[in-house]
Amino acid sequence: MSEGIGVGHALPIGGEGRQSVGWWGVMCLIATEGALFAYLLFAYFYAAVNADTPWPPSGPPDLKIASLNTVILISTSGTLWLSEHDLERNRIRRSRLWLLATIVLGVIFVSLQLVEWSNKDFTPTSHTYGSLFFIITGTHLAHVCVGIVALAFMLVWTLLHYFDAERHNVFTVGALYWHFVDVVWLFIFSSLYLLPNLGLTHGG
Amino acid sequence: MQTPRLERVPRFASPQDVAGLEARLERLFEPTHGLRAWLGTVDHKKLGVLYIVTAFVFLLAGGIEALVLRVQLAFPSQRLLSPEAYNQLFTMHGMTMIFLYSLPVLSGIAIYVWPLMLGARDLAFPRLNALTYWTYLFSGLFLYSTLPIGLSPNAGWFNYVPLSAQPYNPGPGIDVFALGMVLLGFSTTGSSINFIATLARLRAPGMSINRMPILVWGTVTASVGNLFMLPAVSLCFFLLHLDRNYGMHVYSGYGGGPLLWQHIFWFFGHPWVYALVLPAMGIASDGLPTFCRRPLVGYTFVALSTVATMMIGYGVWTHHMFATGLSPMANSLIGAASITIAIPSAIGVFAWIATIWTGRPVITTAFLHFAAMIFLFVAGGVTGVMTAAVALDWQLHDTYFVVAHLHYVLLGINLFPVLGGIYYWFPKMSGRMLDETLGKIGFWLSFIGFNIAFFPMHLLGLLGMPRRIYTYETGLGWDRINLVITVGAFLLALGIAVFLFNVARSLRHGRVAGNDPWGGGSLEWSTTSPPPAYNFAVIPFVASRHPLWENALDEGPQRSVVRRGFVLDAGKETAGTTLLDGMPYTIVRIADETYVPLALAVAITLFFVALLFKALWIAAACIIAMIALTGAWMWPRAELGQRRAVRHE
Amino acid sequence: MSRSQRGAAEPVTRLMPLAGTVPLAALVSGCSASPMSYLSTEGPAADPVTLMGWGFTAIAAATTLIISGLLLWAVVRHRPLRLPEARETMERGGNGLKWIYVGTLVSTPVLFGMAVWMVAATAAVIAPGRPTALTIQVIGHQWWWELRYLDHQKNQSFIGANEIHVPAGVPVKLELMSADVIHSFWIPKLSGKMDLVPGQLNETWIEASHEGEYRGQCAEFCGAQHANMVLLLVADNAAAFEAWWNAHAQPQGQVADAVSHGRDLFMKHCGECHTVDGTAAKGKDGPNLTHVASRRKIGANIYPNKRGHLGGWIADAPTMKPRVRMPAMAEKLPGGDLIAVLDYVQSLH
Repeated sequence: MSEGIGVGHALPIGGEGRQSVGWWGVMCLIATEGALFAYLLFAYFYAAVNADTPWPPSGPPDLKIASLNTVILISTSGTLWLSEHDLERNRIRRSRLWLLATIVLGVIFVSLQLVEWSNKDFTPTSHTYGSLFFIITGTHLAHVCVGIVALAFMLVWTLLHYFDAERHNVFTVGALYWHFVDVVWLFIFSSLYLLPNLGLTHGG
Repeated sequence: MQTPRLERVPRFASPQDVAGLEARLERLFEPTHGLRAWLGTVDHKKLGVLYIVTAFVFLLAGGIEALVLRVQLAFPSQRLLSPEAYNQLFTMHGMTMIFLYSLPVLSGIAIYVWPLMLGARDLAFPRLNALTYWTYLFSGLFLYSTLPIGLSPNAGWFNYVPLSAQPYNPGPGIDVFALGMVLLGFSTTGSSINFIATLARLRAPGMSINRMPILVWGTVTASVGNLFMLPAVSLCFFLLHLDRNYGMHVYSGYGGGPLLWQHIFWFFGHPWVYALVLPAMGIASDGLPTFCRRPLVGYTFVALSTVATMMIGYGVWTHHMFATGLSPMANSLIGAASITIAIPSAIGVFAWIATIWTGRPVITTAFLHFAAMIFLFVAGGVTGVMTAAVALDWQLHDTYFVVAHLHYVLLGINLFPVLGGIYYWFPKMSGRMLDETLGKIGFWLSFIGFNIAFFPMHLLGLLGMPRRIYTYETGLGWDRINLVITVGAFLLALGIAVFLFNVARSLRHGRVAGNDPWGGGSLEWSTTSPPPAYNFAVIPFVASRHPLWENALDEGPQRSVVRRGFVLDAGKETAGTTLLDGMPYTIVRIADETYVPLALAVAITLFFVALLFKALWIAAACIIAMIALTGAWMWPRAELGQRRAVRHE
Repeated sequence: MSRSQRGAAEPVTRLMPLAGTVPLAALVSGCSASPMSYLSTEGPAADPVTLMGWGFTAIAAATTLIISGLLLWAVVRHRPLRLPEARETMERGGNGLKWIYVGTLVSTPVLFGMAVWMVAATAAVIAPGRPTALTIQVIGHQWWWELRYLDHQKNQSFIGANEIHVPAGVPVKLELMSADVIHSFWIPKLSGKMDLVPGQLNETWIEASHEGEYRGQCAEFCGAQHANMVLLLVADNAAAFEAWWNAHAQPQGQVADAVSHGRDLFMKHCGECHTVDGTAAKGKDGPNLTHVASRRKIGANIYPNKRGHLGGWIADAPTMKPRVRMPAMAEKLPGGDLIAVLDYVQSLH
C-alpha cells in the first residue's frame, strides 16, 4: 500500500509556492483581509443607501490624484512581478532593482495619498462619509505600509543572497500579499471614486 | 555553507531499523525542560494543554458570574446586586463564555489532537500556534482588567449601539471590550490559518480528505468560517472605538446608524455560533464510534452536513434582527432559510443515533456526555426552529426562551461534548485514566442540574420574562420558576466541580492508561500516552478511515502502516502531502523553540493597552517593536528550508 | 377582520388538551394567567401567532420526545459491552444509512410545513384588516415611554407617558421612535415586539379585543433600568375611551388655591424637566405630567400612584429606581415644600 503512494521519490524540503505551507498561510491571510475590506465597503454602501443627505456630501471626489495613484499602484504589481521573474532566472541584480523600484513607487503612493487627504475639505469627524472615507483609505494605506516594510525585508534578504532561482518561497508569498494590497485598491478606487463620478451619487 | 540541498528521498523504515532514532528525535523536539520549555514552546501538545486549561479557568470565571446572577434572580425584587453590577456581570458572563471559553477550548482540543490524528509531528505553523495562545491569554486578561475596579463592559455581549456609544456609556468598559475583541480576533484568525494550512499539507500520506476524522472536518469548517467572519467583529468593534474616542460618526449621523452595527455584528455573530459547535460535534462524531464499536454511520453525510451548516449559517444573520423593522419579505426569507439549517442538523442527529443503534454501546462517562449532547442538541434545535419563525420570534425574541435556547445549544453542543472529549482524550494527554465512578456522578449532576436550570427558562420566556433584567416584581408568575432555575444552576456547578476534582485526583492517582484504553480507531491511539515530543518516530501511512480498526473490520486487503514509515530525522521534520489525495509531496520543516512569539504577543498587547490609554507614542513604539520581532520571526532560515543553503546531513 | 377577532382564542383552547400530553402543559396552562404570558393572547395582532406558537411547541415537544425515545432505545437495546474486553469487538453492522434517509425524509416535509405556517402567520399580523383611526407615537427614553396621541379626524393631539389608552376592538397604529438608545415595544398579550430605534421610524399596530389592562415591558436591553421600563395599556369601551380622550385632550385646568404654593414650587423646581400643559412648566427631559394624577402608576409603572410612593419618588427617586435621571428633590424641597408639591401633583387629574 505505502509503496503505491510514492515512496522512493525525492520530496522537496519546504517546497516552492503552492507546495509550501507558507503559501497556504498567506492565502488564508489574504482571504481574511479581503473579507475585512468587503465589510468596510459594505459599511460604506450601507451608509450611502441610508443617508438622507447628499452622498458624498461635498459632491463626487476629485479623480486626479487618485487616478494617478491607481496607475502607480498597478505598476508596482508589474515591477514586483518583473523582480520575481528575474529572480526565477537567477538575474539577481535586476531582480533587486525591480524590487527597489516597487518600494519607491509604494512610497510615492503613500505620499500622494497623504496629499490627497490634506486636500479634502472634510475631516474624519465631519460626518459619516468623512469617517468612512478616511477609515477605508486609511486601512488600505496601513496595509500598503505593512507591504512596504515586507518588501524592504525582502530587499535586505535579496541583498544577502538568500534567494535564487531554486529557493525563493519567502519572496513568492511576500509578493502575493503585495499584489493583494494592489487589487484591493482597485475595489476601493471603484467604490469611493469612480462610482460617484459616474453619476452614482445619492440625494445630491 | 554547502551545496543547496533542496530535496531528498525520505527513507521508509521501522524505528528499530534506524539506530538511535527516537533518542535523536527526542533531543530535537524537546531540547529544554522546565519553565523555559513552556514559555518558549512551539509544541502543539504543550500549547493545546495551555489552551484547554486557560479556557477552563475562563469557564469557571464565567460560571461564577452566572451563579451570582442567579442568586440575584432567585427571588423577586432582590437587592444583592445594583443594576450596574448586574449589567456588568451578565455582559462579562456572555463575553467570557462565548469568546474566552467556547472557541478556545475547541481550539485547544484540536491543537492537541489534530497532529496526532493526522499522523503529523506538529501543526503547520508551530510558532504561530504559540503566538495565538499567548495573544488569547493576554486578550482574556485585558478583557478582565477592569472587572476588579467595577468598570467592566456593561452593554451585553452584542453591545448594541448607541447604548455602547460614548454619550450613553462614557466609562472605559466598552473600550476595553472593543480593543480586547480586536486583540482576541488576531489570535482566533491565526489559529484558524494554522488549522487550514495544517489540513492542506500535514496529513499523513494516504489520508485523503475522505479519510479525515470528523473533528478535522468540524474544526476546518469553523476555521474557514472564522477567516470570513472574524474581520466583521474586529471591524465593528474597532469602528466603535474610533467613534467613541476620536469623534467619528460611523454609527451616528446621517447614513450610519444603529442598525449598521447590528448588520456587521450579526454577520459575524451568527456564523460564530456554528464555529462554537461544529468542532464539538466532531468530537462526538469521532468519540461515539469508539464507544459503539463500529465506524460512524454516514461519514460522508456528516462531513458534508457540517460544511452545509456553516454555509447556510452565513446567510441568516438578520434572524437576530426580526424586530428592528426590516421588511417582512426579507424577514420571511431569512426565517425560512434559518429553518433549513435543521436539515443538516437532523442528518447529524440521525447518524449518531444510527451509530448507537447499529453498534454495541460501551457506557463510559465519555459516551454519556456524547449521548447527552444528542438529546440537548435536539431540544435546543427545535426551539431554534421556533425562534426562526418570524412572527413567533417577535414574541420569543429577547425573552428567557431565547436564553434557554442558546444555553441548550451552546452548553449542549459545546460543554457536554467537550467534557466527553476530555474524558476520551485525558488518558492520551496525561497517561492516566479519569475515574469512571466520579465521572458518572459528575455527569448526572451536571446533566440533571443543566436541565433543571435551563428547561424552565423556556417556560419563563413564554410567561413573558425579558432577558437582561436585573430584577422583576412579584405577581408575574415568574417567582417559583426563577428559584428552581437557581437551584439547578448550583447543581450544574456542583457537577463541574466533581469533574475538576476528578481531573486533579486522576492526574496523580488515576489508573495508568496504556496506549489505547478505549480501542480507538484513529492514529492518536497508536502512540504512547502521553505521546513523545515528536509524536511519531516514523510518519505512518494511512489506507483507510480507521487505521487501527482495519484488522477487526477486515473490509478489504489494504492495511495502514503505523509501525513503519518515513524516517524524517534530518532536523525537525514532518511529511507534507497533497490537499485532496494525501500523496507524499514535500518535507515540512518545524521551527525550534523560541521566545519570539511570546515577545510579539507582549508587544501587540502593550500596543492595545497604549491605545486604551490613548498613549499614541507608546503605541508607535510598540509598532516598531512588532516590526522588529516580525522581522526576526520571518528571517529566512536555512534549517526551515526558507533560504538557499540547506544543511547537508 | 372576522379573521381572528373572535376566532383566535378558540383554536388555542382546542389545542390545549392536545398539548396536555406534554407533562408540563398543566403547569403551563396554570401559568397563562400571568400578565406577561403570551400562551394566550387577546388581540388580532397576536392571536394567529399564538396559535402558531402552540403548534410549533407541540411539534418541537413531539420531535424531542420521539428522538430522545429513539436515542434511549438505541442505548438500551443491547446488553452494553464492558472495557477492556469491548476493545476486541468491532463490526460494521446493520443498515445505519436507512436512519439518515428516513429521518431526513420525514423531517424535511415537517419543516417545510412549518415554514409555510410561519409565512402565513407572519403575513396575517403584518397589518390590521381595516384602516386605523387613531395613531399613537411611542418614543422610548431611558427609562420611560413618551406617548403622543394623534387623531387625524378630530385634528387633536396631546402627550402622555407610560400609560397607553386605546379603545377596545379597534386597531390602533403605532409609530415607534427613540430619543436615546434602542428600546423595544412589547405588550405580549396584544402583539410581538417592535424595536424603537433612534433615527428610524418603525410602524406597527395593536388591537385589544377586550377591555382591560395589559402589561408590557421594554424588551431590548437599554441600560441600567431596563428592568423597570414598564408599559401599561388600558383598553376601554368606546364611551369610556371617548370620555378619557376628551379629558386628556384638554390642557390642565386651573387648580384650587390650596395647592397654588405647590404649583409655584413645581414651576420653579420641576418645570425645567417636566411639562404640565396649560402652565409655565414646559420641560421636555422628563415625562409630561399633565393629568398625571389620573395615571395608575409612577416611575414607568413600577410603583402605585399613591401619596406615599409619589412623595417618596419626588423626595428621592434615585433610591427607588437607581440611576434614574430624576434627581432627589428632598434638599430643594424641605419639609412642607415637598408636601405642597405633592399636593399639587396629586391635584393634576
